[in-house]
Amino acid sequence: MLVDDRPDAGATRPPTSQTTPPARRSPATRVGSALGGLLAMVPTWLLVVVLFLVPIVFLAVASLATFNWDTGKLDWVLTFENYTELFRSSTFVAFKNSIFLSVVATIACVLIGYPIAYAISLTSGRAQKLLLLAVITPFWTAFVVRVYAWLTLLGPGDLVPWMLSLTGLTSSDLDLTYTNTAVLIGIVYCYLPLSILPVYSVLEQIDRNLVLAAYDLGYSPAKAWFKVTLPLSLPGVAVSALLVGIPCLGEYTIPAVLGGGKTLMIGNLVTNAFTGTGNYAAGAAIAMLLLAVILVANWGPRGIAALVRLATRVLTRSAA
Amino acid sequence: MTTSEPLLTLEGVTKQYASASAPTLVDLDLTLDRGEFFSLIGSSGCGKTTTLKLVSGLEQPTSGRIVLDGVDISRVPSHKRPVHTVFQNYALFPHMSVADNIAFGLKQADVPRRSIRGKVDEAVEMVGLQASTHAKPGELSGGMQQRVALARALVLEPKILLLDEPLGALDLQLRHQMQMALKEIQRATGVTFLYVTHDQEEAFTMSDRIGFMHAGELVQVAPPTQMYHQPGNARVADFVGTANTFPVLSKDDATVVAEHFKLPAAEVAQVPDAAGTAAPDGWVVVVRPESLRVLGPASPRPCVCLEGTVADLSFKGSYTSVKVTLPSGDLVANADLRTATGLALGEPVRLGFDAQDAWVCPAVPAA
Repeated sequence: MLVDDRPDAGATRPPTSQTTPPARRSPATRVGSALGGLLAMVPTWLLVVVLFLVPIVFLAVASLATFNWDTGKLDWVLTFENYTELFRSSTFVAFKNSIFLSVVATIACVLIGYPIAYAISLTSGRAQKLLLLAVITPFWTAFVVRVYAWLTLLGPGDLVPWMLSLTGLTSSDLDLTYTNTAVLIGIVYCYLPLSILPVYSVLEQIDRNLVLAAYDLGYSPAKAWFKVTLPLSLPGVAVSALLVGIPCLGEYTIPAVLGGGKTLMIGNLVTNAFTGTGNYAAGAAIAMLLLAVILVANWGPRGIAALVRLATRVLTRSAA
Repeated sequence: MTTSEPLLTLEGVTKQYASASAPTLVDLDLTLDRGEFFSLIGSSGCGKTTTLKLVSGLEQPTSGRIVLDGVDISRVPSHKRPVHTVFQNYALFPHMSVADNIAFGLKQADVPRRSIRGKVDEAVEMVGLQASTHAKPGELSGGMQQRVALARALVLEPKILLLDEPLGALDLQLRHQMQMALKEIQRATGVTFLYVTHDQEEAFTMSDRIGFMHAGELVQVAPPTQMYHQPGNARVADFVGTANTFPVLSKDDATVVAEHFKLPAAEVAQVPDAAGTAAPDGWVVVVRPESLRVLGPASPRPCVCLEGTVADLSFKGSYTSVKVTLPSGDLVANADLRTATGLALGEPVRLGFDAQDAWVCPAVPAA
C-alpha cells in the first residue's frame, strides 16, 4: 500500500528541533575538525622533514661547496668541481663494481632465497616458526663479526675452496680472500634473509584454494605451480629485489673487509672522502650521484612509460 | 531428469583424516543419476564437503570405491578427472582477466587454440558477463565472480559439476536470482550437478534429489517433497523445516499412542517398512506447522485436538507463526491472517491436525 493511512502521520511525530540538536554541524566545527586532522599530521611531517629532507638538502649544498686543502674545511664558494671530479676512472670503476655486484647479488639472492621461502611456506606450526627463526637469527649477531668470519672460510685450504675443489675445476689451495668473489659471497650471505622474508610472506598469503582450483581444472601440481603460485608470488620477488639491490649499491663494510680495499664500491668512495681525507664536498657529490642513480633506476622505467603514454596521446589527438 | 542411468557411484567410501579421532565419512553409499541436480545437505562437519572433495580428487578415500561412468576413479589424481568444481569462495585467479580465468582449463585440455576463443565467448554469454570479459576478478561483484567461477568449470564440459556452497557469500536477493539461474543452466546444459549446501531451502528450490548427511553418514536420500513430508528420522525432520514432534509412548498395528492423543495406525503415514526399521531411541510423530490448524469455536473437529496458550505471535507476511505452550512443551503452528487476528498473547488456543498430515519416524538421541 502506497498511501500513508495514518490520518495525521506528520503531526503525531514530535518536533525534532526541540528534542534533538540539529544533525548538521556548523561550518566552524567542520573547519575545526579539518584543522585537528592537519595538526595530527604535524609530528609525522616534522620527522620526515628533520630526519630525511634536511640532511639531503645539507648534502646537496655541501656537494656544491669548495674543499679547502689547507684548513681541511669547506669554503662556501659555489662550484661544480666536485661533480666534474667524478668523471674519473676510479669513480667509474667503483660505480661499475657497485652496479655489477648489486645486480649479481640481487639475482643470486632471489634464486637462492625463493626456494627457501617456498620450502618454509610449505611447512606449518612449530617447524615453520623454527625455520623462520633460523632465517632471522643472524640479524641478532654483530654484522661485522659475521663478515669477518667469512675470511676464515675463504683462504687456501679452508672450507669454501675445499668444497669448490670437489667439483674438480679448482684446487683447494685457491685463495678467495680479498677478491670480488669474496665480496659477492659476503653480500649474498648478508642479504639473503632480506630476500627470503618478503617472498615467504607473499607465498603464505596465496589462497590455497587457487592452487586446488588449478588442479581441479586439469593442471598437474608442477604446471599449477608455474601458472598460479609463481605469478602470484612475483610482487614478493620485486620487494626482495628492492630490499637487496638498493642497500647493496651503498654497501661498504663487506667490500672493505672481504675485498681488503681492493674492490672499491661507491660506499667505499664515500667513506674514504668523509673519514679519510675529510673532503665532505667530494663525499657529498658521490652520495648525490648515487641517489640520482637509484632514483633513475627506480622511477626511470615508469617515467619513460608515462612519457610514451603522454606522447602517444598527444600524437593521436593531433592526428584526429 | 527422464532417464535414471547411474553416472557416479560411491561404494562403501570411508574417509579418516590422520588428524581426526573419528572418521569424517563412514561407509558411504551414494549413486548419482546422469543429468540430475543432486544436493547434499547437513549441518557443518557432517561430511558433505569431504564427499565433494573425494569426488573431485582433492582428497583420497581411506577405503571404498568411486566409480564414474563405469571407470573406477578412486586413485585418479584430481587433474585427470573429468569433474570440475565451483569453489565456495570462487577461487578465481586474481592475476587473470575474466576471459583468461574461463580459458584457463581449456588451455590445458586438448582443445585446439582456435576453438578456445569461441568456447569462452559461449560460456561468457551463458552467464551474462559479455561486458566484463577484460575485467580482473577483483573488480567484479560477488555475484559476477560467482558467474565466472561457474563458467570456468562448465566450459570444460564436466561429467559432473561440483558446487561447494557457491551462493553462501551472496545476499538473499542475489541468492534467489542465482538459484534460478543455476537451475536454468543445469537444465540447458544437462550436466549432472552435485551441490553442497547447509541451506535446505536452497536445496529444495533446485534439486531433483537431496541427500541428508549427519556425522559422516548419509541418513536419507529423497526428492525434496518426500524429504520434507516423510523425513527419515526426527533429525531430518528438524533440519529441513520446522517440525513439531511428539514422542510416541507405544505403537502397534492399530494405534499410535502419544502423550496427548492417539492416532489410528492405518491412517497415519509411517516410515516405509516401519516394523523393520531400527528405532533404538523410540519413535516420534512429526507434524509440520502448516498442518497444525488454529481452531475457532465453529471449526470442524479434526482427528487430534490440543489445548494450550499463545506464547508468541510472529508476523511472517503471508501467515503468522504462532507459538503455543502445552503442558508437555511448545508447538509452532502457522495461522492465516484471519485466524491470527483472533489470537492474543497468553490467551487459550485450540490446535488440531488430521492423522493423514502426521508422520511417524524414528526419534534421535538428544544432542
